[in-house]
Order: sequence, then structure tokens, then C-alpha cells
Amino acid sequence: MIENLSVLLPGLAVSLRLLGLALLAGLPLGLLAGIALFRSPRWLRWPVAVLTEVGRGFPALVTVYLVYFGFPQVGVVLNDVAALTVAFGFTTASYTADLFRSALASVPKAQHEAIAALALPPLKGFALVLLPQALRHALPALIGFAVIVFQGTALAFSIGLKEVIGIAYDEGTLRFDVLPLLITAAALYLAVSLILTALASGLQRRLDPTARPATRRRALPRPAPVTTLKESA
Amino acid sequence: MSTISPPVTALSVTGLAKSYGPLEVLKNVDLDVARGEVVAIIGPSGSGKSTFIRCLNRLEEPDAGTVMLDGAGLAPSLTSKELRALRRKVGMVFQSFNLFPTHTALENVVLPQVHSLGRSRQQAEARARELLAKVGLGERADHKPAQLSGGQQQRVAIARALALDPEIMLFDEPTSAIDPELRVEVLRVMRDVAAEGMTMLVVTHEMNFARQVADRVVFFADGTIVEQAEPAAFFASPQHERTRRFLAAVLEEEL
Ligand SMILES: Nc1ncnc2c1ncn2[C@@H]1O[C@H](COP(=O)(O)OP(=O)(O)OP(=O)(O)O)[C@@H](O)[C@H]1O
Ligand SMILES: [Mg+2]
Repeated sequence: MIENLSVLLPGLAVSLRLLGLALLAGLPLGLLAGIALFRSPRWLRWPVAVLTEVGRGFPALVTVYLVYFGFPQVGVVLNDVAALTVAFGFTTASYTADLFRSALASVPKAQHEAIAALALPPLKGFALVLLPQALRHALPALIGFAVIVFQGTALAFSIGLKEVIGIAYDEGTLRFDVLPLLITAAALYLAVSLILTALASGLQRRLDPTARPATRRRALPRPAPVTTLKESA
Repeated sequence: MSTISPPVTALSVTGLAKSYGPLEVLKNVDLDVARGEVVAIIGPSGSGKSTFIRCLNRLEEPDAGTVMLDGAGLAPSLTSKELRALRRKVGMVFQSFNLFPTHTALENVVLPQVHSLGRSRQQAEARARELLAKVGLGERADHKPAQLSGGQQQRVAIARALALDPEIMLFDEPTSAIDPELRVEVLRVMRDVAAEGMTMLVVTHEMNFARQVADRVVFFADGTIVEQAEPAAFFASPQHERTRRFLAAVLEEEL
């Protein structure tokens, strides 16, 4: 088992690198696309909506093939890591665009009214008030999606880049015994996924201040008040 | 100083009307408010009280009527720049506080000063600390809204509105969402603000606030002002049947 692990660890480094690149390319684009979907002129919203629909509609494997084998036909030749970054980045942007859009839409109307009543310029209100709330709201789902992207990095195998599964398969074939290595590979994926998920719930707990042990009384709307000023004076 | 100057009109509303589809929510409302005056607006649910004060800072767009602020008329439709200029002069406190949840109490009060008024961060922070101390929350400056009680959040919201140095403050049922035992701390802050000469319009169900702090009580029903008077007269001898019925119902509830 330990020996199997040490064989697979370089593959894990490849997978994690692909995950990092996909998120680095995909998240900023996804955020921009999400903002465009949330509030932008029709001429911009439409093409963005179509593109993200395409990105979600294509199986990730198809997108990988299109970029790696298709792009060279129009003169864009990318090496394996670059092609995977483009493909995974596109898929990531397409999925997270909708996460960002719905997170922005989930900010209550009352916050928009507070921005207006305080005479904040719309862009400032967006950047300083709406966006932080939306990001906080989106974070758990984003990390959940990162887990899926991480598992999706196994598709690198399909264009010959050796990540965990690729190495497990090759090495297993050499030994005429694929199963133990595949099981070890699965355990590795599971471990990383669990770590990411734990990170997500930890972050969610930290970001939700109501969960903090501080002086706190949540006020709920109540009917008819009875208070005299005198009793306080 | 013994010369008595005539009251200066801070706000003058004439013929304000607003409908939502077929529903006439405001019908020809007229109201003049003197500078420094505290007006309590009371009335049954759905009578148009919120819509009325939301028309004053244009969170709702009125269909007809004029609003004059400090003698200056406001065009029926404002550019976004004019709109922001208006809102800088009109502070608003909401029933549900509407603090920015990702920011501390201090940041909530600093942010609009910096970005709406263009104050330096340093000035804004000094003013914010002064105002938070005034509403009794000097020690809570670094707390997030979720770590504060309803009464504390509403006091931060009042400080936030005051920080823009508005000419007039609008309150829409500022204590209705707060636990009864915590309302008094908010009402006390409002009374202090009134005592400092702020012009205030307060939609409220707090009859004691209306009685003890307001200079005038305005009774709304069915989208119009049915009756208005200074508090003692208003509560002692309401003139209209509709007012009597409303008061009977509310005062009953208070017993
Ligand atoms: N955006 C809207 N669209 C349609 N109808 C609305 C809208 N806002 C308010 N109304 C209706 O207008 C009427 C007046 O509402 P408003 O909120 O001004 O009453 P209110 O006197 O503040 O009542 P409450 O004491 O319950 O707060 C109500 O019948 C309400 O349902
Ligand atoms: Mg109301």
C-alpha cells in the first residue's frame, strides 16, 4: 500500500496542479460571466448565457478533445497541460458563472435599498456591499465544485498526461495486477475530496458569524410593541 | 435672544399620489414639516405609511405631487446624480435595520461617509466612533451585525444614517422588529436625536413615543391623512370616527 502510494504521488501532484490551473483560469472568468448574467445589457448577457450553456452542456471529455485535437486544425497548438487548462477552465467558468449569478441574486432587496438610501454610487455599492455577500454565499458551492473539477482531472489520462489514474493504469499493466493500484488511486481521490469538503464546511462555519459564540440575540419581527420611554429615563 | 422667528419649512409635500396597478396607495397627500419638528405617523396596516416616506427619498417613485426639501423643489424625475444628492440629505432607518452583514459596526458607519460624501477615511472613522459612542455602542464598534442584538443593530443603523449629516431623518417602524425589552434603548436614542433638533418623520406603532417625543401626530388611513394634531390633543380628543376606532384598538392592545 505504502509502496503503491509512493508510485502514485507524482500523479497526485499533476492532478493538483491541473486543479489549481483550472481554478485560476476558470474562477475569474466565471465571476465576470456571473456578473454579466446578473446585470448587464442584453447584447452582453446573451452571448455570455449561450457560452456558459455550451460549457455546461458539453461533457468535459468532449471539451478536452476539442481543445487538444480540434484547436490545432485552426492553427492553435497547445501542449497537454495548456490544453487541459483551457478546457477545464472553460468548464469551470461555465458552471461557476451560474453559482456567482445566483449568489448575487440571493442578496436581499433590503441591501439594495440600503445602498440607495445611503446615496452610495452603484458601482461602489456593488463592489463593497453586494459582492462580498455574494462571495460568502457562493463559497461552499464553489468548493464543492472544486471537488468535482479535481475528480475531473482524471480526464488528463485521455490525452496521455500521466496523473494518478494514468500512472496507476500503466504501472498496474506492467505488474499484470491493476486492481491494487486502482484501489489506492481511488483512496487518494477520496482523501483529497474529503479534505476539500472538510475545508468547505470549516470555512462556512467561519464565514457565518451567527455561528460564533458571541453576545447575540437574533431579533425576529414581532407584533405590536408596548414600551414607555419613561421607564428608561 | 427673545425674537421668535417663524418656523422654517424643512419639508413640504403637496398632492402626493401613488398607485400600484389599480390599487391607490396614496391619494393626494399634503404635509408640511417645520425644521426641527418630530412628526409621528401612525395608522392601520396597509394605509400607505411606508409608501409615503419611501416616496420622500425616492425609494418609490410617486405618480404625482411635489416634494420640496428645504425650499428646493424636486423635479418629478431625477437624474441619478440628483437622486444621490437628495438621498444624502434624507437619512432613512428601516424596520429590518439593513446593515451590511459583511462589515463591522464601525465599517457600516464609515463606508457611506467615504463613498457617498467623499470624506477621508480618518475623518469618517473619527465621526463613526463619536456616533457609535453616542448611541451607546462605543464598545461594539468591531462587532459584525450578526453578533449584535436587534436593538444594537438598529442603533448602528441610526448612527450610519446620521453620519451623512442629513437634514431630515425618516424612520419606518424602527422598533417593530426588535424584542420588546430592547426597544427602549432605540427609542431613547431617537429621543436624543430629536432633542438635538433633527427634523424627523417616524412611522411607528409606539404610542408612547408619539405621545412623549413627537411634536405632531399624523394619522393615515386608506392612503390619506385623516387627522393630525399635537399629541396631547390627538390622544385626548380625536376628531374622526376612523381615528377613534384605530386608537381604541391600539390602546386596547397596550393594556
Ligand atoms: N411594491 C408594491 N407592489 C404592490 N403593492 C404594494 C407594493 N408596496 C406596497 N403595496 C401595497 O400598498 C399598500 C400600502 O402599503 P404600505 O407598505 O405603504 O402600508 P403601511 O401603512 O406601511 O402598512 P404597515 O403598517 O403594514 O407597514 C398595501 O396594500 C400594500 O400591499
Ligand atoms: Mg409599513
